Amino acid sequence: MKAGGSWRRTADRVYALVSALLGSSALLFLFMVLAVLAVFGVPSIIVNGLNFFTTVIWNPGISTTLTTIRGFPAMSGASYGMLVFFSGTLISSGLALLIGAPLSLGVAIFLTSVAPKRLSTSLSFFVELLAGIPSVVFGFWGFLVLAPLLFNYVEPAMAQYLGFIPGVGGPVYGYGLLASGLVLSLMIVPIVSAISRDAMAQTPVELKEAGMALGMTNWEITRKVVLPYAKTAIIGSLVLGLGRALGETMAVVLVSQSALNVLPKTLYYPINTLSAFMAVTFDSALTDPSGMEVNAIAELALVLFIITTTANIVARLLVRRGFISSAEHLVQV
Amino acid sequence: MMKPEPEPVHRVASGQGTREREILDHERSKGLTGDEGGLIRLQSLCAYYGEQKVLDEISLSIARNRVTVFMGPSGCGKTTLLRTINRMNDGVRKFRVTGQVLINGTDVYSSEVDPILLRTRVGMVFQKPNPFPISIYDNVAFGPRIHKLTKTKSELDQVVRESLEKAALWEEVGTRLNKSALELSGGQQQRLCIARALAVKPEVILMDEPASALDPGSAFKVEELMVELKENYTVVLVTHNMQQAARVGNEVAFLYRGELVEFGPAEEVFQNPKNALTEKYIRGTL
Amino acid sequence: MTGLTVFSIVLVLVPLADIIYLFVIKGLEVISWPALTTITVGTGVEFVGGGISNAISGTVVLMALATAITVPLGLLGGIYMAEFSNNNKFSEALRFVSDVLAGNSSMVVGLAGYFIFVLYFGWGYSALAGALTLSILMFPYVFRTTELALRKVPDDIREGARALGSTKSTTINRLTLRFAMPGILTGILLSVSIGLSETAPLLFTASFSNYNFNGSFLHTPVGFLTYIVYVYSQLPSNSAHNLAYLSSFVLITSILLINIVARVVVRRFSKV
Repeated sequence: MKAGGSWRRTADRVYALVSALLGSSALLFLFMVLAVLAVFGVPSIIVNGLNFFTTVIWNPGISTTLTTIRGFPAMSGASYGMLVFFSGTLISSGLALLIGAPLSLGVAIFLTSVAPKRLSTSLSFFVELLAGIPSVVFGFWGFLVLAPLLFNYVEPAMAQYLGFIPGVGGPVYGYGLLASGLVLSLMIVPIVSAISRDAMAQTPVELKEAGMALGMTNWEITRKVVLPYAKTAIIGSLVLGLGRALGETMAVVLVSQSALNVLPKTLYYPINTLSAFMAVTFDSALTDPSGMEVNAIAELALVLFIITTTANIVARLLVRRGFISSAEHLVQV
Repeated sequence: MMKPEPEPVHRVASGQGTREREILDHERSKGLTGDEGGLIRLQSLCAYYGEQKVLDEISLSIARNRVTVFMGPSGCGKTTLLRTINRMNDGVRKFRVTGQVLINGTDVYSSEVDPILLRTRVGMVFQKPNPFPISIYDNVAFGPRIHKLTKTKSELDQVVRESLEKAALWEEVGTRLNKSALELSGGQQQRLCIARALAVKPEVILMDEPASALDPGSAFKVEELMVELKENYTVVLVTHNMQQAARVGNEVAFLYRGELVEFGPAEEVFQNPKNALTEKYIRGTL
Repeated sequence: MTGLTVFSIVLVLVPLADIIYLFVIKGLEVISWPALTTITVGTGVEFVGGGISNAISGTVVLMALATAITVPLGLLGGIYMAEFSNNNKFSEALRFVSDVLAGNSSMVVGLAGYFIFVLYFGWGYSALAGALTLSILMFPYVFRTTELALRKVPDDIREGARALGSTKSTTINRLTLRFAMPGILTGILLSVSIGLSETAPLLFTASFSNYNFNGSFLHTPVGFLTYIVYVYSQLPSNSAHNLAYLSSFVLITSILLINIVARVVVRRFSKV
């Protein structure tokens, strides 16, 4: 019996150990990703230094001569600056948030306070369905439908009637910043509205009743009771959505016109983002004789990693259970 | 594995599997089958959550085939006391025990006792019925299956039937054993939990306020069952319901703030309490 | 104000409806048995035509492999989190790391996948490189949903089993896992639909191939559906566009199907 007892204890310990070990693959994955990007990024960090963060021009200088800079092979005429992609990432995601935030909030309020229960349930399903559509299909739709629509109708009208606002006038392109921002905003609506909806639905009934007792209208209760109650979760969900937009690749590739070496001057300009640029350029970077373009792309990936992770940490701090509830949503999708 | 000996044992003999034999062999190998003044003896038992002492020097003896009641106001330590007997508080953070809990003379907290096997000898029924959300049959068969107490399907069927009969549930569920246990009423669920505990053939059954979450009718049935069960088992009951303690208890222990205030035959404790605190509690003025 | 909220839901639903309408209509126009069962002919530079069987078979292989890698890791990891960790510091760290992974750009993971599997391990563009990269992206979903599903199993069931002398391992395997299964299955389905939607991480790990999967997991590029949508949507020819429509249609219907299955699983099993 003694042996039997210890065997059982061992079985439990082995189970705990094995499951902990397999769960640790999260650590292993993150470590591998970061380590390998760091290893490949280091030559670029050393060679390009601060210029990487302040330069607009990205030019691998393929036809120039191969030399050695600070101990690493590099092309003499190469220039690696991330400014176009970095600014494009922030601006397009910012625009997506600007459009997506009121939209998501409107959807969340509609689903919690306006729509009857049955309609709300089926509409929630459709909105969450939006989250399941592959981003490349979103991009394809943007490419086929949205960008031409913007080019032919929306942007010319905006340029004509709102052109006095800085950045809204000027030539239109269709494929560019506005199209990217719009597609990205559609992609963040499901997650933001789902978390906001849940946070709002959790407002204690007593609070709402107190509002009613004060003679507040339905809308006043939403604005003065429900929204303040859910405020932190809503902000957290927005930052979470921002994190998604920052990292999105394929949708942007298809509607942004992959700008190179030029910063956007208007709402319609072609743009590029960190991830979209990596996707489009990596194949040709592999042909760089010095190999430095691959290193520079690894550095771009590190920059993107830092941006999205910062957004995620901020979101986590804002919604204490944010990620759990977002995961719960995804489970319910 | 030790070879089984054909000695008479105090267990029900049917459906004896190897695991059970192991346990019995172990008992005999230690020469501890005698009663020695009570099946369960608590000796200077103290329990702590961190620095806080929740049980203070409890010593008492629980006789075989009796219903022994632990009663007292909430927070008095009666549930903790009950859970030390089958070591259910093992692994609770910062919980520790000093003193001894002897069953058949073996300290259950000694290193050679496996809490897993201990719990097959000391079954437990909880305040809130907690049937597993599987079929009625699978609920009762759970224990025998995990401990491999039976060899054949018909043996297992037999154990399930006997257990349900002893829990006075067979009449009500015998024809729908494959239905989910969650379809039963609260009182039936609690009796199912009792049947589930009986199926591993324990000697002792610990009951932690088993009727308090039930309607009066179901509670009464469970009470009746306790009285029937003591024929074959030793029952230890925790309750804050004095009437219930008086109705079913043979011995009653009154606990207050972690201390054993009074312990004795139920009639004496209720009619002739020796301690002023007990008297106050019984009169409802504590 | 009500008007504004109605306006926002309309603004969201119209593009969604248009996307589904467009790809269902176009998909049904171009779908045919030969298109689903023959391989792609030509590359981006020349005329592109034929069917998408290479992408379908490649996607199936990639997803099967990635799921086979992800599920044991995520499932057991989730069991650790919910049943063994007692919410210790280590488990908090794991939860954080998993959230960081889930919140990251799949492009970053894809690039790392190239460096690790294609280059460093020397597997070349291959099914295994693609599948492992995908499983890094899918892992957090299985991991976290398993934990959540297990945490929803009431503790008194664990107590009841423990009181019967059940070990932790036995309780998990025979009881808790069983009741958490609908939630866990949904998590797995969710991770599959995540993997199915990915493009960027496969570009540099699986590459692409016009040929059906030939059984070799290493050194052989494999096709996948999202590649066809990404590359052929930008080619000028109609036949290339048709392949992109067809692939979008297949992707959307499979993901819709997975969603519906997940919902049915939850409905069916949540009332035991």
